[in-house]
Amino acid sequence: MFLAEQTAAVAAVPAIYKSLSGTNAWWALTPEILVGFLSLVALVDGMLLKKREAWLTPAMIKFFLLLIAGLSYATLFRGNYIDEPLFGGLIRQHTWFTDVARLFFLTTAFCVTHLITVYLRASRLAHHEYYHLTLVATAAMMLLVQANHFVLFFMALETVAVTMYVLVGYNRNSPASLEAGVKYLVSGALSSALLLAGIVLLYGLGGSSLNPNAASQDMLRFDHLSQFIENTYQSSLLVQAGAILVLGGVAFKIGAFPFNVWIPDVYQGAPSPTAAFLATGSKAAGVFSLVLLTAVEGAPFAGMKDSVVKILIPVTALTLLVGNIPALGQLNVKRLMGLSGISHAGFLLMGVIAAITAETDSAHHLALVAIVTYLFTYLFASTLVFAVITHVAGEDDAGSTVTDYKGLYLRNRLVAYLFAIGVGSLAGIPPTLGFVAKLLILIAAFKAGLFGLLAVAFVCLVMSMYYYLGWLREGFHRLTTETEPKPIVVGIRSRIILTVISITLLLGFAAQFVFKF
Amino acid sequence: MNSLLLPLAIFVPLIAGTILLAGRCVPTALAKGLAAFAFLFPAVSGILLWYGFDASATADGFNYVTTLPVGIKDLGIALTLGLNGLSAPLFAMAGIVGVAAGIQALSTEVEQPNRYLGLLLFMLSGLLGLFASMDAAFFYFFHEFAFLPTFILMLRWGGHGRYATAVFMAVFLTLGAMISLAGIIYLYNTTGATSFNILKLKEAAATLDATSQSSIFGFLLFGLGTLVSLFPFHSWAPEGYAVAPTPVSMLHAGVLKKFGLFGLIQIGAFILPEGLKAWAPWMLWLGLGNIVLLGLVTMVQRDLKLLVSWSSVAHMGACFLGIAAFASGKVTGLGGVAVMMFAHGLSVALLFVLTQAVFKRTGTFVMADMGGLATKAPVLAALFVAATMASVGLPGFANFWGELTIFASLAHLVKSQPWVLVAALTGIIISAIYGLRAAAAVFFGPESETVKAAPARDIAFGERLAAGVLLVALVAVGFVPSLVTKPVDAALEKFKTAAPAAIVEPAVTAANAE
Repeated sequence: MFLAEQTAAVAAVPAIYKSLSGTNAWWALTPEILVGFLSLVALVDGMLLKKREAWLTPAMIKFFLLLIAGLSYATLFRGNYIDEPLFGGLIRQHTWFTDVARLFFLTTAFCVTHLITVYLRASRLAHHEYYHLTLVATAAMMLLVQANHFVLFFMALETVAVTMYVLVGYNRNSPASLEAGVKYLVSGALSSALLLAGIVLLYGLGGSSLNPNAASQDMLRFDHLSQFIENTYQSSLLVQAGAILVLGGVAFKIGAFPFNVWIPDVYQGAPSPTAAFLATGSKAAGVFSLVLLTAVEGAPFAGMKDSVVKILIPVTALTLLVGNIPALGQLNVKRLMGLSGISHAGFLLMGVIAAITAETDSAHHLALVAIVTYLFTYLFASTLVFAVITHVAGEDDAGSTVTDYKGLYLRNRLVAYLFAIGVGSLAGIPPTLGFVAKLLILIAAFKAGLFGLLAVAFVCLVMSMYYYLGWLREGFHRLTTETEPKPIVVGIRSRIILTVISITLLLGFAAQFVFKF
Repeated sequence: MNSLLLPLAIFVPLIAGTILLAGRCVPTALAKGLAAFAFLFPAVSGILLWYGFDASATADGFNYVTTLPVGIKDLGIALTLGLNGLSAPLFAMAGIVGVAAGIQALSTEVEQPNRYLGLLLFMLSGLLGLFASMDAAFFYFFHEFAFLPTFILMLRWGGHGRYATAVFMAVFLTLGAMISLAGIIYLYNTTGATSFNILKLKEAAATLDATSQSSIFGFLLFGLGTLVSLFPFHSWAPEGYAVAPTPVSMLHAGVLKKFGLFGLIQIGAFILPEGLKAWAPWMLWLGLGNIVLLGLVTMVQRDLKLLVSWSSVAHMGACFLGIAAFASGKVTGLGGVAVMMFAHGLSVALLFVLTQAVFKRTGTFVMADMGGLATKAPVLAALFVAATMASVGLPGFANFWGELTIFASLAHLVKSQPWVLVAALTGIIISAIYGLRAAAAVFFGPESETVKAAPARDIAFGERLAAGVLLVALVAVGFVPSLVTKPVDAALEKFKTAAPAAIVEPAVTAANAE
């Protein structure tokens, strides 16, 4: 009797392994593996290279990131997606959306690596670890957007969070940076706890008698959880509570209300490349995972659309307002970037709501395209603006204010031009890509019938015009004092990369290709 | 060839502007030559296109239709250029004001002339695109495209108070543009149109019910109204014009502002007739606000440039009256508005040129410090008086025909709402008072201390040329108004026949049924 049970158990275990190994598809993770490998190479470089040759590391990283991104892009339109769970249900690649998200993070890593190079020019801080950690976080984000299982989801999110804790406090000589690191750690830990509580709650409910399939299904898997929630959510308040906790953990990454309070302080204190990475990479990771949790096929909360939207609409409206209203009087440029970043998060949330509520396939597609376009635009524009911030203020830029930009065009014409394009794109002024992205989001929201939110968004757009143009105004203002403006020196590689990014932003109406997805 | 001329007219200033902005090493003489060509080219091609306009064209009255491979096809946004009877004269007007502004800019000494001219050319290109675009999304695009150089030009080369005014104006204009963009997307979405092309929008909106039409029109009225400085959304305008460098004020008050009216007619009146009807009383009231209230504000101005700025705001009221008259079936009202837009663009630009010339002689804009300038600068005085007469609406100038037609189209209100006519006529008197008072205060009477101390120079060649171009166009249309009215008539033809038909039709069908 006992023996029989044991044999059955022994027989069952290989079956699980078999199903795991049978669905392993390592080739599907090639970009992540390469990025992880690259991060290790960056560390080894630190041991092997002489100080004189230190420039090789970022150059190599940028080259290989471009190569990987290029290869991913080349395979992007291949059309033969395997839209089914891999690795025993840990990973699921949702056709074009996952691939574009991974491409996005590769691009982010490229931009941030470049910002780090600019930032570390004259710095005594350790070089290679910065690159290493950035690449680790990138690989984790790329895994995050393919998660189909809460274990992988949480692991990836925590890997991002832990590396970010280090990156925020990276400038050990600056009290502001250390303070920001602690603040980010405390609030980040809170959000992780919320997320974990939500996951546990859902897992427990899924294994309870509420779920008739409890025995045969894995309640941490998104697709299984999705079926359970679809059947039971109306009857169970606890399911809704679990969902809210999980979404709260994600909202922290996005910087949505009420998890927006950390942003200004952390952005101000963090080194500029980290602030840019938080603004673009981390925020995008949040937005992509929100889409993954709510708005794609097999998303766990797709079955409870109504209540998710009911929560998201006021959250979005408040996110837009708490971003824009304090930004109106903000003079510190990095706080301004943080606060306006909250407002951009609000726009992205609007796109997510449009994707959730979309009734037709084309409307859903339009909303996802709008989100992706918006994120890419925001990435490029933020890269330009943070590069300008670094160039204007140097290493310790926590105290840099809007008035420091007075007469920027006299200090360096190229920097002033990049500044105008970057800020103009953030503000959404034609012909920049920023305008096209905003237009796409607005059209998607109109199609979804979110008229209340649109009203708030239009008001916020006007507010954003005030502070962005107020900042731009300083850059192009005639100097009234007679002091000789201090010139800014920009390296040749930086010039080329930033100019290419600015031209990309200017060609807003060539954005046609985003619809190829 | 003509369909190539239209995009060329927009892209020549754009390319020249890019060269001037990017090329630090372009020598000043070459840069000036290039700029002069780029300013002149759109004016000449605008006049050619206007002259060659074929009223009997198919494509719903649009000539020279070209679609450029720019835009987002999947949403139906495409840069389609074309001119109809309404936009052809306005496109030419933008070109003429552009060349005058160009002459003015080329003949003034500024810091970093290359960039100054480059930004002006960018602005001009946006303005031309605005009137040539057939795509509603590109209306917004070109408006902002023209606005950004305006903002930078104001900050870099503007006068006293530019720092606050520039952002103030930016917020107002963005608000207006955003609200109208919301209206356009609303229209696109409600009708289920597949394209932002105004012809397609019109087709799709044909079945739209009156309620939706009126709510969309509300967005357009207040959004575009802000851009035209409709009372009470005008407060950005006078300061904004007064602070900007003269060529920018000319282009902004003369051309960019007209876009609000242009959009209100092309999208509002043509596509949403029911919406127009619902809002016509509002337009009447607010237009009278411009004419009477802002006219009174203009009367008490003591600064010459502010006075010209305020007067340009006040004059916009008449256009709203004309559109309101169109709503009650008086097609001539809209014709008057078209002439008025054309004429006002030229006359306000002319006044800005001459105001700047006065400033150069006296070193001040304060009218109390001037007086008796006519003895030292007789030609300037003559031109200024002529410009004032034009803007008051004296026969012989284009403005006269605009005002006359608009007020004639309001004549049917004489029984039902006589106060409208009374108020509108009061407005004309007010405008005569402030115009003539300004001319008298600056040029006549005893010579003031400032004028005595001023160097005895009459108007310079550059200013004379700029003023001459504008004055010739004003007088030409003043004597031969059919230059403007013919194409405009073509655009309005279908309304003349359609309006009675709509009333007659039910009776006819009823008769047939029997």
